[in-house]
Amino acid sequence: MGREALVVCSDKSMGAGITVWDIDTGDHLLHIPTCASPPHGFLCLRNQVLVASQIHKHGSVGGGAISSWHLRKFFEFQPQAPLRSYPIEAIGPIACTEDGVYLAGGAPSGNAYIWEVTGGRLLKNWSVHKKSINCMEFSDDSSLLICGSDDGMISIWSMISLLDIADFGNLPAPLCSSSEHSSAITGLLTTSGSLSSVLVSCSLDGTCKIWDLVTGTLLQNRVFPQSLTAIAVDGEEQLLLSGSADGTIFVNLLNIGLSKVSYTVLQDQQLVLNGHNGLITAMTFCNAGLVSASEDCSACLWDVVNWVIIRRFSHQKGPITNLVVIPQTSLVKQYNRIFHVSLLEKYPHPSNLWKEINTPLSPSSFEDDHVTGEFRSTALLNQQILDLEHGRTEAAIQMKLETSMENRLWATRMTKHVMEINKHLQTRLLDLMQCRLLRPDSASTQMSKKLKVEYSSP
Amino acid sequence: MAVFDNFINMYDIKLKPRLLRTLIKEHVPDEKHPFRNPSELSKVVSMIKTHKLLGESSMEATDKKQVEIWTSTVDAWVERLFSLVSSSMPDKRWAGICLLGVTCQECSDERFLASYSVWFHKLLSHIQSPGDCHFVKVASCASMSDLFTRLGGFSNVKKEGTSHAGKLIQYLLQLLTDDYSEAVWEGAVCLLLTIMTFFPSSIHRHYDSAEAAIASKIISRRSSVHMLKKFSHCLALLPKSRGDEDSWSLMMQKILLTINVHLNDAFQGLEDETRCREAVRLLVAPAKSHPPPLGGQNEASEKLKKRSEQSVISSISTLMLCCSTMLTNSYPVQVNVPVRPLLALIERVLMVDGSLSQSLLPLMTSMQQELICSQLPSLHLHSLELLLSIIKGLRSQLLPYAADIVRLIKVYLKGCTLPELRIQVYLVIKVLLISKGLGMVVYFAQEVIDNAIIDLDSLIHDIGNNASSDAYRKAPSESLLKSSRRKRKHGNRSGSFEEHNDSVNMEPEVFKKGRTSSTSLKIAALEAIECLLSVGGSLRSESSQAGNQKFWRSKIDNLLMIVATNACDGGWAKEEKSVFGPNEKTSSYADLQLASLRALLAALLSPVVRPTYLSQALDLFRRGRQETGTKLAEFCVHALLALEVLIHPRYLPLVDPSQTSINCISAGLNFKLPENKYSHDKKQNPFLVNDESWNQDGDETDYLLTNVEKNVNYPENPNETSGDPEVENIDPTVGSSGIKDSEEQEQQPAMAASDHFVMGDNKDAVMVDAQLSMENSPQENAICHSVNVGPGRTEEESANSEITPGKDFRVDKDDGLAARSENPIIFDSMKGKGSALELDDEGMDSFPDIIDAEPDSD
Repeated sequence: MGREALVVCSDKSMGAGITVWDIDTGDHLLHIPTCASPPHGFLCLRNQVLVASQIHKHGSVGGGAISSWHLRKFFEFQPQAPLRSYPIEAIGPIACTEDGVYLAGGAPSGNAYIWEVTGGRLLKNWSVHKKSINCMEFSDDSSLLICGSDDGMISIWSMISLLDIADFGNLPAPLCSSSEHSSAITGLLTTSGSLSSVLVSCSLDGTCKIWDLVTGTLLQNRVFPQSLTAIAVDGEEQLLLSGSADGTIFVNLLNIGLSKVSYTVLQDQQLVLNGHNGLITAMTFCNAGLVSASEDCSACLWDVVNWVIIRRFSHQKGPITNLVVIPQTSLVKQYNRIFHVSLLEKYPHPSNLWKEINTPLSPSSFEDDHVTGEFRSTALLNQQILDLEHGRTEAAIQMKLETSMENRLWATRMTKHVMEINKHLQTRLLDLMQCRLLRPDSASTQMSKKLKVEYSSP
Repeated sequence: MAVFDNFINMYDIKLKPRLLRTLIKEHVPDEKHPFRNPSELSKVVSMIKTHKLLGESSMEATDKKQVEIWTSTVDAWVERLFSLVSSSMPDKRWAGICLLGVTCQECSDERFLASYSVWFHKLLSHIQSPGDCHFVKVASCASMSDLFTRLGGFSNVKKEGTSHAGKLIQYLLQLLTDDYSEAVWEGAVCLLLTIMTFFPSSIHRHYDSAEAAIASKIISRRSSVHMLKKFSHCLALLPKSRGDEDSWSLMMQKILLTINVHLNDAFQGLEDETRCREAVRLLVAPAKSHPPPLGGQNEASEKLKKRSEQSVISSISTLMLCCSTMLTNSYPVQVNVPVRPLLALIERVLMVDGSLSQSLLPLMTSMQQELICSQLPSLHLHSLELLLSIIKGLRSQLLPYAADIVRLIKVYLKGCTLPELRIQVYLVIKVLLISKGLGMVVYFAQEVIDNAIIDLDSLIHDIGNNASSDAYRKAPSESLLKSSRRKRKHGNRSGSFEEHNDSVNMEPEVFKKGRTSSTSLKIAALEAIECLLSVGGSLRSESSQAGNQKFWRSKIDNLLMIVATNACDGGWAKEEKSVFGPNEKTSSYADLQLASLRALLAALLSPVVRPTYLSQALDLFRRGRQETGTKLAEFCVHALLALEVLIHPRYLPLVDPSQTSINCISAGLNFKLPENKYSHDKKQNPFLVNDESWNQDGDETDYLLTNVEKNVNYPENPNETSGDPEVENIDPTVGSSGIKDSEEQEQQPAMAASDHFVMGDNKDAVMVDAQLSMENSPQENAICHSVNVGPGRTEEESANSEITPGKDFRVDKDDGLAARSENPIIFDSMKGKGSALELDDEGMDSFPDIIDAEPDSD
């Protein structure tokens, strides 16, 4: 497991900025200035880009902004101004899909926006709730979007129908919605796996409710003595942690039965963690344990075996509103393809919806490094041998023909050659004979020699 | 060499040069003797490859002298090849070139890097000389391709490779444009593909001429389908040589335009004029000019006019294939994919079914219509493939178009009857479901199920109307059995199963054909269902908005069980090893059995309720396991493994005593809390009462129990157990607990009214231990494997109880455990895992132990 880094930000003032710590040693790694995000308004896309919605406190002009920083770029060439997009209105909570393609944002007016991050296109904006949207969350497979509002409403939306360009202008209908919570929703999370996709929500009304994600059926209702402000589930999805307004954290088992179960009110907890003095704002699990952040200007790393605090990170610049845990390699790793983030559009442009989609094709890093080719000649050789033996193809016949022509040429050449030699020898013989006839008086020894030649030459 | 200079064994390094020398002497042709038997070469090659004769080094190559001998032998080998390559006899040249290609693959790295340039030029001379016969040219292309493939593996010679490849390109393009045989074209295209893959930038200078050469090959009608595929692949890779965004987009635009122009011709009279104008309008922005036609020449469209419909369609298919390849292959930079024109094109093709359009008077003779209709299925197939590539290429970015695609597929499925096309549609559905997840299931479930039922009809057909849910829901096992019995009879009658096939079947030809096609369709349908269940099995029955959708889950479960039973009823089919040639892709009956079992497993693993037909399914899997050596047996073993959790929910020891030092989260979360923590909590928590946990536990099991009972109609009469005297013992313990009154009162009636089962597979011994430890030191008890016992209630009684009026069950109140036992978390987490418990008699025996424990723990 690689080392991880804890990224936190505050909503106190733009000056608070973003702080990055090494989670294992507590070392301060990086500080990114000018950022103030409301709760749930901070995330990391594909471990490469930090995105934060900005609230402008009273006195500032216009709406808020959404800023994004490329982590590696910032780490290496800092300081660097973020990419700031200005939506129509200030955005509070944001959420992104697993692959970082879509970014959803909710506004205090109850409107929600969905952007495509790479192209920056605003794909959809619609009114979700009457009250302010408090948190947003995508389901595990990124096919559903869940919004929770200030008045306790939860609505679940199908991304496919939301983004259906055929009815771009129409008001979409939620897959289901519920108003079981009596006060503001403060946390939403979904579990993985298709078989038990459940949604867990917590609210200031002090309850934590577990829902069937698709049908919106309430499966369980748990009542806590405090208003709940944050929830988290561990990697194995066994434990449910609920952070409360007075800084305590309750550890429960996340028991999701297979069947629908009617709810029972619970009144006690199994384990209570006391480590914070202020409202718990965010919690998450990482390799090292549980990280919790609070308004008491600190974040704690808990040992999940003994449930004791291993390390306390104190954030002098203000109460922590958001935290993200990223692998430290995000700061330095050279990605094959840099994840591209565009300026988010302010207004929807229906014509843009039809534009081409800018996309990386098969962005697997593996393929680029390992181009595999196959050797061909052996297979071809066997093929050609077959062809030759059976004379199946034109080419084979052609070669056979050429070979035999070549052979014939050779034979002709040889014949000619032999004939030439023959001729040559004949002339030699004739010459000899002539010699002998003209000079019959030559020595007998010579004659016998020539006779020998005569015998052997024909 | 000494006669008795023997080797150690067949791995001896001495053997290699000797063997190679023998090969050179006896099997490789030489200048002097005629080359009679080409099949000798294949022996030579296999010998070289098996023994790695050209490797020149070996693991145990310590003997320097041996290595030298080897090197010199390989030198001699290469020498011989050179003489062959420059021989005047074509067959010897051919042999030399082929062996040179093998040498490129097999020789050592050092030798290759030292001499590839020489080899390149030897081969090049044969590619560029016009006099060589085609056979030799093809072989040189292949050997050259091997050379570049090998070269591509070295990262330090990229530059040299590119410059070498650059020299070659023009000759290759010459080969393509000249009037050679198809084999030469193939060789040239393959070589071009290799170069494009490894040294793309070498084509940069010849980009336009390469495009022209390949495009003209695609558009002209003179190539076989096989070749067209290669050409299309080559065209698709071409933009990579430039590697910029514009080349890709331009190529895509040109191809789409060409396709649409061709379609205009082909579909004349079959579709509305508006549609074809629309298609082109989407492609070319109004302000912009048309891009130059594909391949750069206008004559292409001229030629087109004269050509038959058939070849038009085959070029369209090829170009579609090209688009697919472009979409699915990687590209160095991000590109703009024109999704809308692509989808419009697909829709345009899929919506043409060969019927003449109403608005137009018949412009088409029946002859023409016949021609186009004969070609339409292949066109549809290719557009579905293109659709698949779009889904693959764009991943989640396709989401805004997903609804469009679903609509298109829904409409298309209604009319589509050809099995091959339906298979492809199922494939598309599968990919859509997997990539778009739950949201897609919500959209698609009904469609998939309706269509799958139609396609699986013959497998469930005998059950007829009984299959509809109600009969099954009541007594599923019985009717299943009946159905299988009936099916068996039917099987005998029609001779439709393997066993009877050979003997009984009267018209084997016809029957087999029909069966084969529909078998693969059934497999596709089953796979789609399997996929649906895996992705969206959690969609509960009551989830549906519409009434007819209500019971799809139970319907599907039954369907799958019936299908699997019927498919596997006639015994296990043999896995046919391609008797009819390797190319023919046929699905055998064994594949169908496998697919049905796979779908069944998916249904079992994503249950909404405890599967009612588990035992039948298990029986199937167990029987399948017996088929030694088949894929089916392999799968059945896997299925049984996967189902084990469902059959016997176990409480695995979460702590491995031998590895207590593990310090990872997962371990930490599951392990019990440490003792100091426990006592700390105990002080803090006011609700620390021992009995409480038993109560809570009881509720949990209670719920599970009733649930189980409800689902399987557990035959045991609850009243039998409710009379158990031991049960009464519990009440006082409940009463003695220190919980808040309200809580207590809430609990008590339930306890009193309930009858008690004891559940869990824990050994008695463990339980006794647990009790003892509680007795001794309640604060320190270290029950690691918590005992899972408790009173149970039947459904009726729980309904009667006043605690949760109107609600069937009580939630497991895990939290209520507090920190009474040291490991409350573990306690419940285990229960969470074992969602459906089986009653078992052993557990009952252990009940008294608990009773004993109750007072002690106070």
